[in-house]
Amino acid sequence: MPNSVEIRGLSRAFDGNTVLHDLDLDIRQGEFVALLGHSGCGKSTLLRILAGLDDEIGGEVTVPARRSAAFQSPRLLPWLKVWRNVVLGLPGRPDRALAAKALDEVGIADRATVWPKTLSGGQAQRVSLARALVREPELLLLDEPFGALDALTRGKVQQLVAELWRLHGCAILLVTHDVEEALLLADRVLVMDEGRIAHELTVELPRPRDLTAPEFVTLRARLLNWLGVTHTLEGTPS
Amino acid sequence: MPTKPLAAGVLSKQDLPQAPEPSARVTISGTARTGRRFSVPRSVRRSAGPVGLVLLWFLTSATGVLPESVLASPVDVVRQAVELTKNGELPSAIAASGRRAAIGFAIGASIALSLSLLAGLFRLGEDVIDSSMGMFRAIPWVGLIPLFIVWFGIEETPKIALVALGVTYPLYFNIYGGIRSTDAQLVEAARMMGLGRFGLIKYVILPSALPGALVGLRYALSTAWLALVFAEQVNADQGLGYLMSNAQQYFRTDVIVLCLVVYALLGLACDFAVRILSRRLLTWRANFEGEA
Repeated sequence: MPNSVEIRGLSRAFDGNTVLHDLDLDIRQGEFVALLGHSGCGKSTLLRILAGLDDEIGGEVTVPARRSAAFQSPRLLPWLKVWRNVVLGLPGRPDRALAAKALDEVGIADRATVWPKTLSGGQAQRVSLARALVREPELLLLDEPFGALDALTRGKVQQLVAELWRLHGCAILLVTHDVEEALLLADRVLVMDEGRIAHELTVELPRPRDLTAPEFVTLRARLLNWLGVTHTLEGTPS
Repeated sequence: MPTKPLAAGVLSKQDLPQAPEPSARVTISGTARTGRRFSVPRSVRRSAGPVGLVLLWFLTSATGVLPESVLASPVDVVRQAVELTKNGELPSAIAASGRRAAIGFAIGASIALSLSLLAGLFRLGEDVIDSSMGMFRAIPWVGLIPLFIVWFGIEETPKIALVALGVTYPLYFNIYGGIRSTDAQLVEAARMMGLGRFGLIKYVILPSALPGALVGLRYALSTAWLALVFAEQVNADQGLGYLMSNAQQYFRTDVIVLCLVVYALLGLACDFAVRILSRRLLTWRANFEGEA
């Protein structure tokens, strides 16, 4: 598979404080990569750079032109009806049918004509995913999109993302600090530390993955160890 | 110190830790109504105050406690209203004043809108405009009447200019503030979705400035009428202010009160219109001004 993302010698500093150090990374087309790390390790900075929201960088980054993102908060425009939010920014007149198709894909076709304020957290996050996917991206950037959801909803939306990924075949970079989430979804898990990719793990478990399988538990322990969490913790290291 | 072995049964009641005294309790009695009890409707209760005051005004006038030279009776005010409406004086005065308010408002609103857009959208505009506006705001605008008379004479122009000036500040600061309080995360998301500069302004920045702008509009309209009251005290030959200063010369408190009532009603009507407009434009806000 050819590469979708190529990063060579990427560095980024904020007021002399270096956040990314000479970072190299390739993401293959259609690959699902999860990026783990403590708060402030530079993972969100990397994602913003790939999104094109930050260009004060050193080094070279090649990304597909067609890429989109979903963030931790859904970031829907409250003054546009749900379906208008989905097709916001697409060229031409707002295409209602296209929006309906995208909303159907994420399972909330019936909420197309309501205001975003009336959506639950999970529904809003689904709309945000629909908005990202309607652009048929080659690269989808997900910045902790499940972070603000309750555990039950999070499980459902994670499953949805797995299905959508299979369906669309785009490359995904998922920034998270949830080790289990990374292992459930990704082909490859990267652990970032102090602006570098410190560890890399290829997950070869068959899908759908079982949280309780011994291999899964082994990989989880290894990742937690890399993250510096020494004792076994249920839940997420922060 | 040697410890004394405790013999069973030695412990007396006093040695045991005191059980906490039962503290005071409160009873929460339900207020939910089981049956339909008679209650005065809220709207009636709310209007009781104003109606009572007018009644008090009427009674004190009728009994002579409140002499006409101080304040005319409400009956006289209503009679004046009918009479001045019949002979066309009041409608033409309202038209003249309304015209001034409308023109002044239009000019002030255009100035405020252009300045706030320039200052809100461009860093250069902010640097040049916003500090100047802050400085000008410190000047009490009513105090500019003498200067306006020197500049514009005593005809319509100074009156319209004063209304325009009064309208400009509240609109400018509210729209500018609204633009600047746009959520940076929304801007980022919209840029990510492919919106260009024009699209960002149209779909993100202006809508998010709208609630502030409507608040500014309410202030601006009430300021417009206020400015008009001041401006029309100066050499008016038509309009509500003219009617009022004429009445002052003949001690006609009924006409003065009538004009004040008309000013108040016009202000209320404008406020009502903006509230309706807000409700229609801001339906996307979850708890906008509660239930209709």
